[in-house]
Amino acid sequence: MLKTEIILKEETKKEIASTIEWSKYAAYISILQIAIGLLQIIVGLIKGNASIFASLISFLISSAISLVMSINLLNYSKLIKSGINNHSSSDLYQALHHLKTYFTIMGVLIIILVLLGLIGLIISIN
Amino acid sequence: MENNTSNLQPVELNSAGASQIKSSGKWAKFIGIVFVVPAILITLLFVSIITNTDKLKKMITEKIGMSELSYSQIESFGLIALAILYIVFITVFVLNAFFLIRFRNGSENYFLTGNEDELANSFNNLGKYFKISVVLAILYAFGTLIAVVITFFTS
Repeated sequence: MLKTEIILKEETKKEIASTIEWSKYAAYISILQIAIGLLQIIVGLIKGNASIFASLISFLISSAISLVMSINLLNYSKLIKSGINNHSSSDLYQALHHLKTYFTIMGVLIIILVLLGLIGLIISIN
Repeated sequence: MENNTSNLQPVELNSAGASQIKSSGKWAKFIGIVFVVPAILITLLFVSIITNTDKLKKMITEKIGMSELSYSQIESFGLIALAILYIVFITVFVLNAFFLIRFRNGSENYFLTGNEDELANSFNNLGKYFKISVVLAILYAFGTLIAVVITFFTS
C-alpha cells in the first residue's frame, strides 16, 4: 500500500525531470498562440470584418484562459526543477499543485464546452 | 535537453504532493476519454467525405462554379492532402488520450501497490503527453498563421 511520505528514487526523479522542458515549451507555444490570435484580430480590424466585436470577446476569453493555463505550466516546470535540484518537497508539492490546477482548468473547460455544445444542439433541434 | 537528476540527494514526496498527483490523474483520465470524441468525429467526417466524393464534386462544380476539368485536376491531390491531415490529427488526438490515460493508470497503480516504478512510468507518460501537445499546438499555430496571411492578402 501507499506510504504517505517517500524518498523518490533516481529513476522516478529522472522521469519527473523529463517533463520540465516539454511542459515549458507547451506553455511558450500557448503564449505564441495568443500572439497569433491578436494578429488575427488586428487583420480583422484592418479588413473591416463585420463580426470583429464577437471575435474580440472570444479572443479575450480564450486568451485569459490560455494565459492562466500557461502560467500554471510554467510554474510547474520551474518548481519541479527547483524541487528536484534543491531537494525541496515544498517546491515539489507546489509544482504538483500547479499541474493539478492546469488539468482542472482544462477539464472544467471541456465540461463547459460539452454543455454549450449540447445546449446549441437542443436549440437547433427546437 | 537538460537533465537535473545528477545529484543523488533525496527528494521527498509527501502525502500532500501525492494527493495532487492523484487529483491530476483523475482530471487527466477524464480529459483523455473526452479526447477520443473529436477523434471519432474526425473519422466520421473523413469517411463521409471519402464515400461522398460525387456529391462533393457536384457541390464544388455547381455551387462554387469550378469547372469539372479543374476539379478533376485537384481531386486526387485534395484527397491525399485530406488523408495526410486526417492521419496527423487522429494520431495526435489518440496519442494524447493514450498518454493521459496511462498517466492516470500509472499513478493509480502506484497508490494501490506502492510500487514506485509505476509512478516513474506515470511521469514518463506525462512527458510524452506534453511532447504531443507541443506538436498539436505548433500545428494549430501554423494553421492559424497561414489563415491570417491568406485573409490579409486576399479579402
